Amino acid sequence: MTFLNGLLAFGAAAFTIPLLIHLLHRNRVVTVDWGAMHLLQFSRNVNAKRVHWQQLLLLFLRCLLPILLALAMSRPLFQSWLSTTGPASISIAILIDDSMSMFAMDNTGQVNNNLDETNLSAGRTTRFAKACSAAIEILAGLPAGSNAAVLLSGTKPETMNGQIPDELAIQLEQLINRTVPAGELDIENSLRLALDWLGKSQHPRRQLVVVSDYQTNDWSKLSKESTFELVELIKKQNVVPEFAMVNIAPTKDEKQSNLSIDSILSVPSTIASGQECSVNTTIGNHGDQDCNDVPIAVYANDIEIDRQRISLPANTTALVRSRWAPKHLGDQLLRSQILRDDWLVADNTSSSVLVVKEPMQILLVDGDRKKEPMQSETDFLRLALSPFSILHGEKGDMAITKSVQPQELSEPLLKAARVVCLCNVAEVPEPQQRWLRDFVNEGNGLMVFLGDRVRIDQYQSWPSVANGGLRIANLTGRNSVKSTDNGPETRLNTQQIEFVPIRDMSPLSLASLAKARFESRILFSLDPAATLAPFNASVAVRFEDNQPWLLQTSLGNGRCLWVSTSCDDDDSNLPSRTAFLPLIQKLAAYAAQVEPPDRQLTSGSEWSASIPPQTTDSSKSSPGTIQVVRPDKKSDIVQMEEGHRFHFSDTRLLGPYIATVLAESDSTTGVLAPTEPMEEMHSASFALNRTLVCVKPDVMKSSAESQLQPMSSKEMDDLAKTWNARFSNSSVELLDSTRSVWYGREIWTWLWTALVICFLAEIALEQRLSPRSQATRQSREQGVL
Amino acid sequence: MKLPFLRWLSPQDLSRVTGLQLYAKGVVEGLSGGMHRSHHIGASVQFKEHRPYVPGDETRNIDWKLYGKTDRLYIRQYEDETNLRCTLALDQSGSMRYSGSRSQGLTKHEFGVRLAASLAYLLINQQDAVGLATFDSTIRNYIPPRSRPNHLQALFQAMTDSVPSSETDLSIVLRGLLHNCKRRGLVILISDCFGDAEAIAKSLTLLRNNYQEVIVFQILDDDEVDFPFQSRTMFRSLELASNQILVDPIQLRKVYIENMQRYQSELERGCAQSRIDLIPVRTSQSHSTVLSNYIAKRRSGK
Repeated sequence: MTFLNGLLAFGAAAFTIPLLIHLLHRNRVVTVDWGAMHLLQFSRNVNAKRVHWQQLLLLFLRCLLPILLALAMSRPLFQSWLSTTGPASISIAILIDDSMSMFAMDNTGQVNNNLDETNLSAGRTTRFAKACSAAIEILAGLPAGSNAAVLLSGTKPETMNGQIPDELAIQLEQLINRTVPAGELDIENSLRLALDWLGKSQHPRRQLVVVSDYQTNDWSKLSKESTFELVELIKKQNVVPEFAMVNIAPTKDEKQSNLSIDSILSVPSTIASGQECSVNTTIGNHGDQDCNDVPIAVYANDIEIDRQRISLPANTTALVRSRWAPKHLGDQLLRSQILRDDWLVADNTSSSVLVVKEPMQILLVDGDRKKEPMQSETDFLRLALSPFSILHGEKGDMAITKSVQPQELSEPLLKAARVVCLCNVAEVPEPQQRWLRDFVNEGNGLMVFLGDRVRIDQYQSWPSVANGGLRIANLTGRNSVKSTDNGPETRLNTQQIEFVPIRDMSPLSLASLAKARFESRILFSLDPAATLAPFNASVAVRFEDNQPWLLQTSLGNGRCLWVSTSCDDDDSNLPSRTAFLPLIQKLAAYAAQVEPPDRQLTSGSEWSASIPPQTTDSSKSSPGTIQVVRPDKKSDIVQMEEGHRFHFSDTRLLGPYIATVLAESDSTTGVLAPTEPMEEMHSASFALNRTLVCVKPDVMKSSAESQLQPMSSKEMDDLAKTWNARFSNSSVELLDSTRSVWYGREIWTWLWTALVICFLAEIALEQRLSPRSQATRQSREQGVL
Repeated sequence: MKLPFLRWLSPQDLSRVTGLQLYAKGVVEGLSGGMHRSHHIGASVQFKEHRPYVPGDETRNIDWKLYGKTDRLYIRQYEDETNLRCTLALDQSGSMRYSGSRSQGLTKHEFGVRLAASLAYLLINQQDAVGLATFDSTIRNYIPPRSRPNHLQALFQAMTDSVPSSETDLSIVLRGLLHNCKRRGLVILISDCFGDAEAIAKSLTLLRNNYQEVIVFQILDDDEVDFPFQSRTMFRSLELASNQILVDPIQLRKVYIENMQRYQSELERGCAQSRIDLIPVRTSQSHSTVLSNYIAKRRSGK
């Protein structure tokens, strides 16, 4: 209990006045000479007790009057039993939704049609900024000594550092201008984090506030079971926190119009230098109005490469294709932007990464060379690996192939190559085995195609990988079914393939692979020693009769693949099938560890990539430092690990992340490179020192966020009821409603009421006890004497 | 020289009382002729009845005219009228000394004296004999009834000499009056009648049975009826100084009033049973008004 006008509370001491009057009055005795003593003596003690109580009650009421008056005027604040002295401090967890829809701007007056990108969003506030302001207001309104946690609850939920409200408010002020959204609202994990934090907090009073724009999609994706589970979880807390929901979006029942870039994709996502790619942008109109003449710009490394104008009917999507030929190697950032203002600007831009690579060197060791075209063992492989150069004499292939005789295989040749294919080589002498082992250990790839010329006993005599050799299989013999024309043909079992490069092939290619007929093969089985770590050899693909076709293993930093059939059309019709080209390209890329890099992440997942050193200088090959520029243009420094790999986990924000190897001088002096690497992108050497990734939500979820469908009032009421939450439409409303909980409830109205009641009771009792009224009552009851 | 009765009777009182006549309700015994019915049958003009002659009757009373008509001897009887012997019994006990705020400064005793003086004046004026007995615990002064006008002086003097003090025991006093009032007459008791209501009623009944008509003027102060005291009060007995009670009147009021009413009703019941007029009188009233009201009521009741 505290008083707003504390001094007036001392007025309660006035209760002594009636008490003193009573006591003084009591001491004053009047003497009366009286005749009718016999009547007095009779009645002396009969009714004294009851009347005495009435007198005491009257005295009590009279004492109570000044006390109540003083209390009422001093405006006391009544707090619950939990608070002892002063305003009770509380623990509060504030969840701020920072998903895409929170970056909508509600106070847009006139939608501007003619603008360039500079004045987009000028002078407007995002819902996120409003949410931050609301959170700051709430933090400022907390009782002294309270601690707070602020969680950004877009995927992946993140707790801001610190527990002191003032510090958090400063951090939030810095966040107000943020324009980059995080992933979709992850209410489940955010609530778990918040409850976890609240569970550890010291204060006995706890509150949970979710500041969001309450989009239908955000909450409807929670299943009934998980909602129930979370509500139960809240109820099971030792101290059940008060759950409050603050809606900072205007509650409108109509759909707000919004244009968004649903996706941007380069086809293909990885190209060799000199190739041209197609940039496909999908644009969606999520409103009920047609949008005509919408300008769409496509940028590569922030240089505009294309601009088109399209018309989008209501609730439709459109595809815009642009073509672009990158000039440099490395990761290229593609970005599409709608150059038009709307409710939600954040989804008017989308980025994607195009990887431009140098063709890799593949050394094909031909065990069966022939002069006729397409008769040599390696002809099909060459065609599959570098079709452009063979058919058109153009550049743009993934790989540059070189075919050699087995005896030509030498260390200098190996040094230039990335992958070596042993194609039906009869035998490999011991020094070549050693060279190959070293070659693979360094991080390169080896593919072994076994054919009819292979000397099984020689291969079987190779040392196993476990013993410092290359062999991972025990070869038992060759199974030929070619002699009988109608003999059984074997096909590959493509139903349950776990091997990633083949599993991820297109369905068409898989179907084609499944139809390939195999007529002969080497029978082998995995060497048990090779299945153990660190080799982890396994059967990647099997025939339908369960015999292995493809074995794979890790060896040092490299990879080995063993195929039980040859790579020409002697053993099968696979080389002439459509699946052959993608299959060989994927296997080669797998062996060379240049499988198409996944340059797309979901928000919050860890980004793990490598930037190989571009110099051959061994002194600089030690792992360096990486600067990661996030979509909000802030940068972090990450230390590289062995193998020039790095891990970056702060990928909550949607948009492109750029990792750049810092120059030695930068990393030693600690001076960061300018955070505008885009301008420097056009120097080829710089591009190779970096890698990119784009954090994107799922395409479906992205468009759901862009639809901007706020809940109706009824839905919000239902939601609040489900979660046992109090719903407010602003922080002010929330503060008003919770101030009574935080600071106490003003009870002066009750005191005034009590005062009036006491006053009336005093008058009534006084009337009842006064002699005149008693006499009149008596006379009324019993008649005049 | 101021006449002593003027101390008790103002000219207004005298003028109001002069016109009044107090008749005895029953028959009374007097010495001379008067306006009240006597139980003696005399040679008056007021014919009462005929009765058969019995030997020994005086022959002069025989109604010869009736004998001539009926051939039987009848005695002609006439009603005698005599004067009234009235004894005023005035209470001069301590409790009669009480004077409340609403009694115009009169004590109950002074009020009683004025009432008694008015009655004496009234009765002497109609040639009735008036006596006076002042008493507290016993009869202090007794003046036998006489009807001479100058007897009034003696009565007034006795009233003047009467000073209220001491305790009272009305029942003993009333029994004492029995000895003084042997002949039929009227006893007017002027008192507050404080005491044992039952004993008082019993004594009054005795007096009544001794062929006395009894009228009781019960003199009360307003304070004694409605008990208006507010602050803590020490009630000191007017009769016995050592008897005092410190009480909070507000607490006691209701019970006191109940007691008062119970006592009053007991007294009224006792008087009604003996056909005694009990007239409660407040000192705030005018005694001549009280008297004239009573006499008017009495006459209409007759």
